[in-house]
Amino acid sequence: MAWPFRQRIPLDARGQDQHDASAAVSRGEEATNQLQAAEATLRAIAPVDASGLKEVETLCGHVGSWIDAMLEDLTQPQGNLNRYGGSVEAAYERLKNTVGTSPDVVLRKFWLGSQARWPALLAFVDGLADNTMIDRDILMNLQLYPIPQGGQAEVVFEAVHQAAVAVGHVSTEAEWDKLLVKLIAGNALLFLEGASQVLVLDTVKFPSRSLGRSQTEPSVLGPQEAFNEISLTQMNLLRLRIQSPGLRFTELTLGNRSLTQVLLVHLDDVTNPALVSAVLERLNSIQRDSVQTANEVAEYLADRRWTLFPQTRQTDRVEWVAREIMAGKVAVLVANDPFAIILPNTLMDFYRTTQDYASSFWDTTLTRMVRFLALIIGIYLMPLYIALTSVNTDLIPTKLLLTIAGSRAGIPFPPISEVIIMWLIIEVLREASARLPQQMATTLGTVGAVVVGTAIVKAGVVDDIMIVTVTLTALGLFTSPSFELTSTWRWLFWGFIVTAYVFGIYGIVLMTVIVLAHVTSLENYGVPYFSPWGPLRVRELSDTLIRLPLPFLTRRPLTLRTVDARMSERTVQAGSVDLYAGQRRARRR
Amino acid sequence: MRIRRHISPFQYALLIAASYMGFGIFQFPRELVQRAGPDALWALAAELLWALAAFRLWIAVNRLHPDQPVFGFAASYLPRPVVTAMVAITVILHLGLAFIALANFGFLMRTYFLPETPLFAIDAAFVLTAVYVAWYDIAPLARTLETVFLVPGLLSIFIGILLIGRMRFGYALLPSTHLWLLPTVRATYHGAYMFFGFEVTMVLYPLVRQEQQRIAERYAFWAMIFTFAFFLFGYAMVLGVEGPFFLTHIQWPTVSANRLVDIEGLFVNKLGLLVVVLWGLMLLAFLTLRLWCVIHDAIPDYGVHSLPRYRILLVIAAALVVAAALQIPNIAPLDVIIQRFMIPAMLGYLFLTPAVVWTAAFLVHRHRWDPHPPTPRPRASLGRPSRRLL
Amino acid sequence: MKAWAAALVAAALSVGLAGCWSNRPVERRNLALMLGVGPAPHHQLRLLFQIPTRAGLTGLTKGSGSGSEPSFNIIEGVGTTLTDAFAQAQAKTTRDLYLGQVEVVAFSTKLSPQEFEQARNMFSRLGSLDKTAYAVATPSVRALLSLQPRSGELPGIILASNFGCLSCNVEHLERRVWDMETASYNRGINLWLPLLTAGKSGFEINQMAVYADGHPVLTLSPAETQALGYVMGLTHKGTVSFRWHDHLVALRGLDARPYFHLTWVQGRPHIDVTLRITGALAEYLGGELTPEALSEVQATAEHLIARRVTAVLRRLQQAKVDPVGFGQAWVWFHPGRFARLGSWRQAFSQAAIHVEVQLRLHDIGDLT
Repeated sequence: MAWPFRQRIPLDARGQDQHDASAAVSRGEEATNQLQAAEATLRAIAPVDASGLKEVETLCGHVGSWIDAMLEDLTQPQGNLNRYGGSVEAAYERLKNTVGTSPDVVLRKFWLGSQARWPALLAFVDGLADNTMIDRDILMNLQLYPIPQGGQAEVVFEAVHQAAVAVGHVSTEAEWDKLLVKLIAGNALLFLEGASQVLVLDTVKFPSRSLGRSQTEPSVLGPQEAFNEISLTQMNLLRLRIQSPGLRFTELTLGNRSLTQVLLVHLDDVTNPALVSAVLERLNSIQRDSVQTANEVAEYLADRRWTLFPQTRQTDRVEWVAREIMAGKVAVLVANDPFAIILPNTLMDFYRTTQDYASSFWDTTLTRMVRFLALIIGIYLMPLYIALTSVNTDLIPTKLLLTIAGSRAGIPFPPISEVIIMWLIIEVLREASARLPQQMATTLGTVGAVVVGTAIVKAGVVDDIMIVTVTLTALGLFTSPSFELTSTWRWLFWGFIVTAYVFGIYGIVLMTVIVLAHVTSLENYGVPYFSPWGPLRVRELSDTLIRLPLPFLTRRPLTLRTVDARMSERTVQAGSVDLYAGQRRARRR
Repeated sequence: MRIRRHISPFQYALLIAASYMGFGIFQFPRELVQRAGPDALWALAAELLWALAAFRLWIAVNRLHPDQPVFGFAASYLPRPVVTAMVAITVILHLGLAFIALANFGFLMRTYFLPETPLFAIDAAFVLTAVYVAWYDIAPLARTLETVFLVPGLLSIFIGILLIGRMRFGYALLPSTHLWLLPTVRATYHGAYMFFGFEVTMVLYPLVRQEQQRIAERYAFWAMIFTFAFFLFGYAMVLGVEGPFFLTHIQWPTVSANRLVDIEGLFVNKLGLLVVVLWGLMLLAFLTLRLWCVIHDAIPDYGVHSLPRYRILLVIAAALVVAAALQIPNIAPLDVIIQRFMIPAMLGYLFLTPAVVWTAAFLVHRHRWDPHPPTPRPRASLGRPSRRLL
Repeated sequence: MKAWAAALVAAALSVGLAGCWSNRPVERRNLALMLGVGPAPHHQLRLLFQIPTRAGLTGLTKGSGSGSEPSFNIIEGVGTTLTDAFAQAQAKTTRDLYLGQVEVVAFSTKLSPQEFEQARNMFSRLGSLDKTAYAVATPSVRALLSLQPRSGELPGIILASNFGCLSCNVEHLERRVWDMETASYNRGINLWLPLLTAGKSGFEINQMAVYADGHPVLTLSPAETQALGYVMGLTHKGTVSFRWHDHLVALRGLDARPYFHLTWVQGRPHIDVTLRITGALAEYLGGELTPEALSEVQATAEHLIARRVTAVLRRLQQAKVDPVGFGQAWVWFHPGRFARLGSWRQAFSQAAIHVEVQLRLHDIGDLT
């Protein structure tokens, strides 16, 4: 059956006191009528069960009224399917048959004004819009507002816009595609009969959780607050920490369907503009339907896609994001994810934490050295164990070798198999405890450590020294302060194991060179990843393995080539303070 | 994707040092002591002198056109066939040095560390690592060296200090008071391999920013003197520990000396042996630079500025080096190759090439001098200042 | 990506299929802790390996041997060359005979010069042999290697810790395989090795065997070893006892710093040896210990030590061996004159040696 859409539908009810929708029989109704007639005919011809047609009828009803609403818009002077045409009824039909099919979208038709009754429609998403604002600041005000009798639509619209609604942020919009996006974002849409524009009232109320402590990067000292999922809160928190007017937020929308808000944050008078535009360019080139996590953006921002080493750092620590922005980096905030993306990074950046700057430099230096040592142990201990007990057995003290030989006597597996067994146990335990509630995870950890560890030695599958080695290795690899790096080292660990197994110490050395060559070859937005060691920047070594007192750290990282290279002035240390000077002077007088 | 990048003066000096340091570290000072006897110390000093002189000559040539590799501009002064021949010789010598270094290291590793591992595996693993280090071209290569060089350097000094306690032949360290010229010269000649390799400056020099080139030169000269000091320290340790007469019978004197270090209380008590493996890093740097240079010497400005093409050539060069190294059955013929062919060829090359180019340039400028000296070719492979964004 | 994956699989397969190469876990190796080279009938060589047993290994962590079970066993091989002997020994065991952790290498004093040189040459060529292993000479290799010390510990470990301990012996007679090599090749010096014997209670280390041309031409008594130890800087806990004014006086902890000076007078070497010795007064019953009395004691001791040292040097001269290396520096710096001289040993035997001892007693104890 062909739809007779091309005919123009006469509509003349606009601008009258009471909208008369029955003035014209729309084509949609026509179609429904025809369907009903067809159904009746079918029933008459034969006792057929035509209940299926009922659904089609209902659907046609919806489609018909939707089409009617659109046609209504089309008949306006600037006839455009994408524009609100001024008919509240048409808008109602259009919304009802599109987003309005969802139960959370509320479409409220009401009369505006206490004396004259002007048709209006308020649309909002239940839950996303603030109910108090809807009831008290919009509906109540509008219903009580004295609208003069026989006024022009534009005058009424203007009066409502300027005087009636008690909402802070009000804008006007006429295009449907934008209106729908605004509606879904939590705004309330106010349609007035006869107006060419729609009022968009900012009633957005974000369903947010309160600000909590950072779970991923705990710190004993220093600020504790972490971002939540709401972009606005994130912006506010950053503004609180960086009150310079140079702090810029550039807004983008990513995800063709999720339409996620993404904010690029930088410090205008510090960050290199080339960096900002490069990041912006890459962000703009992202084409995907949905962006749900920050990582979905971050993976597009890296220079090299296949490398094991993390290129972007993600943190939910407000203080850390502010610190990095101040250093001349760029942060990307993705709505609905509390983790901000920071870039560009060097490897060393992943070993810096809030606590490093919140505690004394002695403490920081010691912590950093421990972290480095732990990394060395984590990566090298096990491969060395394999190399020294299986390949280069002449390098270790005789007594140690004999002790190892003694403890290994009767073990059916070679060291490499022991490593695989033990590592599997540790990884499984780790993953299991990560998936369980915290109380159970602790129990599981204990069970794993005590029961499995003891049992496996007693069973003669693994020797005692291996247990010690594996424990140290696991502890060493998990000391990495940033979550992004832990899997990197765990992957590389196996590279070292294999090379140690085949070539012993020689293999370990070669593998180290390969890792170093890889790390030095990495660059992010022109920033060498292994800086300040390769390329060597002696001045910047002052905040790497050791950290000098903060007054000595005066410059921003050279590799970032910031507009303003200097971060602070080295304050001159004052001499001793004479607390008795006042008394002395008084005595003299 | 262009591959050439700028390097810092420090990186330049380091690359130059790396280009010769790894080659002789295992054999020296055998030839010096064998041929000069008590005058070995003077022969060692003479090594430094000739190396400094030859390096200065190369720098003089580099300065003719500081923004171009030597074989990039040599054709402006010399007939094209001559330049082509020079390039061919350079490539052969580079590959020769690379394969000798590789074979030598392979034998050493097999003798002391991996007696049952086939040579091809040892050599291939080494060359694969070298290829990977050179994979991303010069900047990562230089950075890797910056990070890697410090560890074996410091550990070597530490091992040297530990060896002082094992010195039984301290008398041999004293310099002799009467100099026998002929044996000393002969020893200098036969031990000259210690400084082979600095001719890489012909392609490295233009990579330094023009305003930093003088600093880079100075750094490179100091690096040479520093290397000499390092060798001198090694010489003293090896001679004092092994004694002058035994030293001449040892295949790898420095390695043998390192094997004596035995520290109680460490997880790895034979620390000296560990250092020998770490010295492999120096050799790795040597090999990597050779591989890199072979390509950049051979085709200085014929458009090898695409990374994929560079990589293909790199792999081919590496495969050639491994194949050649595997042809040598043991260390004995390798010594013959070094002493009979490599030393005369390299010494001749190191002095003659810059001398010829410089003289030709001098003559061209003098006799056919015009106010516009031969304009440098467009820097096909050096044109882009830096891929660094900022 | 496919190409990369294929390359990775190929690499993994090639490594996996090629086997383990040099990878052999420690429990699959027979760790030889002591190695002995001795003569065998029919001009053959005997090679003995002392291998710790499982009881010996586990006893290490428990602190002592497990009692009834022996802590080690001995594998033996005989052959015309050491390589043949090694192969025969290897055939007697199912695990790899591993020399990387050898602690002690014992040479029989009964080896012929050629056999000794052959053994030394082989050990020098072996890249896997630990060059820091201690080298000793012994009259009976089998007796030495079979000795089980009463403590039940592994003999190799005991010996190694003994040699490694500076304060455990009167003379520090440690010689490494390495020293053996250097002394054999370097000119102007003769090889010496500590003479190790298996006593009833354990090892006895207080004698020295001096080699010439691969043969122990001179075996020094314990007293002679101590006296020569002063000259060689080996004696750190020397003692001397003598009668002074009808009283017995004993000095202990004598430690010498030797100085030589070599001159040539009419084609004959003159060697001046100065020994600066420090020590402690151990026993003295001669009344009040005045400075004068002390210097008399010192002078007497100096004279006595000088006499003993001269005597031992004379014995060396008679045997034409110079383990001290008086002529080393001269030989090195005067190659022409050395060539004309022909043999340093000959020159040494005719050398005029003058020994001067300067003794200082730093410690006289708590009595006046």
